[in-house]
Amino acid sequence: MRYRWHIGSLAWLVHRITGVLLALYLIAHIFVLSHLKDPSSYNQIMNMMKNPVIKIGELMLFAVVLIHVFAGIRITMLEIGFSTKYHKQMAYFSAFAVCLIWLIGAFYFLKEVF
Amino acid sequence: MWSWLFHRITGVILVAGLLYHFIFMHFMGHDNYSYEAVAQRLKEPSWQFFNIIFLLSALYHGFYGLNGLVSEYIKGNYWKRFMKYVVFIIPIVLAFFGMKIVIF
Amino acid sequence: MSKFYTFRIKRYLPDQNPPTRWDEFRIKLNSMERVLDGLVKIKENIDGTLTFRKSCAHGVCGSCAMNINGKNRLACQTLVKDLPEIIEIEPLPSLPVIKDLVVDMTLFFEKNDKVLPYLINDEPPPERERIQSPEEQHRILESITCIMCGSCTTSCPVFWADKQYLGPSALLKSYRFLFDTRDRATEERLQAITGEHGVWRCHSIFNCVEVCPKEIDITNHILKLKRLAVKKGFRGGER
Repeated sequence: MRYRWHIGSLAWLVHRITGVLLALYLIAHIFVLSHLKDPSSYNQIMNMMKNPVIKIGELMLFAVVLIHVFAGIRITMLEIGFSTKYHKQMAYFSAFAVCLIWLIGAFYFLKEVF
Repeated sequence: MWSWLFHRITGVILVAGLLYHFIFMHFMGHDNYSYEAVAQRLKEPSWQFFNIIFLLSALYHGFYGLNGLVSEYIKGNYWKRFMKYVVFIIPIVLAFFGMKIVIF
Repeated sequence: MSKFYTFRIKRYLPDQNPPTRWDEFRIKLNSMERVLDGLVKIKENIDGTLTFRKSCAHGVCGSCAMNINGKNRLACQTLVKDLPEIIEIEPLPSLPVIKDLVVDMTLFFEKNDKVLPYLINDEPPPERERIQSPEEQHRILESITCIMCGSCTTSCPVFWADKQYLGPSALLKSYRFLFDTRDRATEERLQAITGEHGVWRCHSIFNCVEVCPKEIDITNHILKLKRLAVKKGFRGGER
């Protein structure tokens, strides 16, 4: 079955996929952090985080978080009574805001490395 | 209804919390997340409070979402009930692990 | 001005092997004609076994809802001049197909029955009609125009996955009575829509609004239902 996509259903799909990714990441995040009880293991992990590959992973995670947050803000705004007439404009604006904030965030992320 | 409404409320809490979390952990330089700084912060009650709220909100929000996915996508009563238990128990276990680091 | 169009139609003939195949028909239609006219011409002149539902042919009965070029719409309301030269027609998605473009709508109408689609008011009837002001009528005016063609429910990605979900059409019907000032069964209606597969499964995807042939803002109505349920502090069994 093929079905035509539009910005509303696309926003839903992206929201859903990023949500699952974040839930899975949350499990790993809490589990790993809960095992860092002494300074040496903590610093070991933190040094590992300086690896460029992991930095890129972090940036991607940042993008996933932003996308999920803005999709969530759009849905919440609609639910508390913002007019559904503008839902498409809201989705486009969210996409723009995600790009902008991601670029600004990426700048700060990379400043740490260099 | 309450569970759904709470999903939205925790969502709003998370947006505020994430803002704080990201600024502190990533944008303010290395000093903020060295082991000593983190351990120091975790001793303060206000930070403990923030972390616990943040942790529980994130767990609730995430696993309520997964619970919804189980409702929609998992077919078969037996399998569905099993997955419902899974998405109920995992956050409780994780909450225990998370609490353990917040309250040393 | 007339032009040739290619109709690619997904056939389902249960007594053939394999039962599913795509057929192509090339016919000439003028710019005033609709997809339904094309289908009728094919049935009359080319292939008499082509099966589809139609009745009024004027967008009132809702029989001829089908998936045209990847979007659910009424064949009687879609002009061929608005479509590309190749027109792909499929039955409504996610419902069991009986033959060709005819789907089994039982599931769809079952959802409708679940939301108590009738006025409930046990107060003694007044001498004349139960009066509504124009403002009160205006609140439900949009939802009354629903023709129950099934386009919205079968366009909903949640319904594709979760057949127990009430779907936009049934929720709209529920809105129509919940916001009717003459109706008294608010509690029962909220009970009916706030289950695990009820109103909370709507994720504001807007597929239903995209396809509705009567241009009803269905998502807006469902959002109002959610707000009403929250305002009434209604405890549906969710988890």
